[in-house]
Amino acid sequence: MSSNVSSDILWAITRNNSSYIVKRGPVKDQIIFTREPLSLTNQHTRKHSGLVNEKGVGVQAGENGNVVIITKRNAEKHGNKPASLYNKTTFSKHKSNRKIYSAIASAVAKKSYR
Amino acid sequence: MATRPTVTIYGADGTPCGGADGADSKTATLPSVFKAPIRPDIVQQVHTGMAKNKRQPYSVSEKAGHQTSAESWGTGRAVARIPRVSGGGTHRAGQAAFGNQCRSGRMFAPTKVWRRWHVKINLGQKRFATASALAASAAAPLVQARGHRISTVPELPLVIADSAFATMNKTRAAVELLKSVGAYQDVTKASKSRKIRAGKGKLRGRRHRQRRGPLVIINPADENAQSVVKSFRNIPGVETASVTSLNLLQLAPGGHLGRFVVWTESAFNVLNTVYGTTVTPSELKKDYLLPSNIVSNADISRLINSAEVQAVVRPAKGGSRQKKGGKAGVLKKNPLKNRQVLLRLNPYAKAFSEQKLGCAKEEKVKERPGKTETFKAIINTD
Repeated sequence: MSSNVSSDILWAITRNNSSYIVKRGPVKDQIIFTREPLSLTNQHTRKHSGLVNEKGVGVQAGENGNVVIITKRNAEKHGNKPASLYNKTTFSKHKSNRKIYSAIASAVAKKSYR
Repeated sequence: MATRPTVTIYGADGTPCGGADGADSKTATLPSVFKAPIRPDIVQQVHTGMAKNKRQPYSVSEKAGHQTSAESWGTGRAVARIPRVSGGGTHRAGQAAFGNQCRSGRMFAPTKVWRRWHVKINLGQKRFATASALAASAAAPLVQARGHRISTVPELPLVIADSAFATMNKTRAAVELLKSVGAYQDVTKASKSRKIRAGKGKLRGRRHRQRRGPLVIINPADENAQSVVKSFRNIPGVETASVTSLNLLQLAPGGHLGRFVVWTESAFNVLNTVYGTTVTPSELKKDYLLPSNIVSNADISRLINSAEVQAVVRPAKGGSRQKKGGKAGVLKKNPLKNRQVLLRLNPYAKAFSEQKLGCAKEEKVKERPGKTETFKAIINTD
């Protein structure tokens, strides 16, 4: 990334205007969600935005009911290389839920990724 | 200063030119435009103005609603004093006319051709906005946030070697190229989005509406430039532009930053000539220097958390207890739920709970009052 771009700037720009934003509810207590793949809570917030932050985690449904975890690679090197930015790990649907949970935890938190 | 950022140049097959990861792979230095400040506010303002400058005047007819000799009947006839059509022998006679509330009346505030249709935009702002939009087109998150499908694109900015365009004169070849560099997803998205427009625009030459796909920027000085433009022009959503005359309406459609741009190598290489840098003036634009960033390091949270800044800031008020602000900067904690806070307020609580006084039952006096010793003693006073 060049020096004029940072997570802070990206968030300031995409906060009010992004194709991923989904607004729900009446204006007075509106909730803003996001459709970003790298968002665990699907809330449109700085903390949970995988697009803006240098690190992000996403858990998605893969083919045939498999579970796919997506994490971001080094933003310094790959930030502007969309094809090689993401690490994808697929877990079979036949694996027990408990094992998948622990695999996700070990891939993300135990490796101190984020 | 960090190393000068470079951009890989990709060949017609979508792999880096001159070997996948060899030292001889072909790269270009990132032109200075891509380091321009990204300012959505300026881009939006300039875009609003530019979008207005293509408008043609329209208005209703000057005479509409006034082509009758209506006169008010005045008071005394128990009808409203609005002008009424004179004469008889037809239904129209006696009907109200002229007013905006009347059937066949004139509209309220009839539109005039001398409305202020066009907006003057300062040249400096226009150039700033263009530079800003170009810089945003090189930031993958912004291009994604604009809605482009770029998950298979190897790198942004996407620069394609001139050899890929040298003999291009067929749309089929252009499609092949977009497919091999991973840009075709965005074309598919654009072509699938084609819908019939709602409203009267259908009759006015704007029958369909669809998303925008990649913008292919070429160098008009190239020999093959014309046939490249022709090859790309029938692909849905794809537009071509000349690097010497870039248009903000194409670089930031709708005023939204981050158009997906595909560069030809020669167009990419003349960017420094067209826009100059922040210190050397542009060769093609008169008196023009690129805008420079006010903050040299845009990573604000890193600046705030740096040792230099943290060394001079005053410690947080309320220490570790301060979490929510509040009047005293102290988080109010509920002593009924938080035991430590409870003990601070009521040191006896510890003994109280250890001896289980809270669940001890009151001792019952089994004797009935009438049979107690005291009662007997009172009665037998004599």
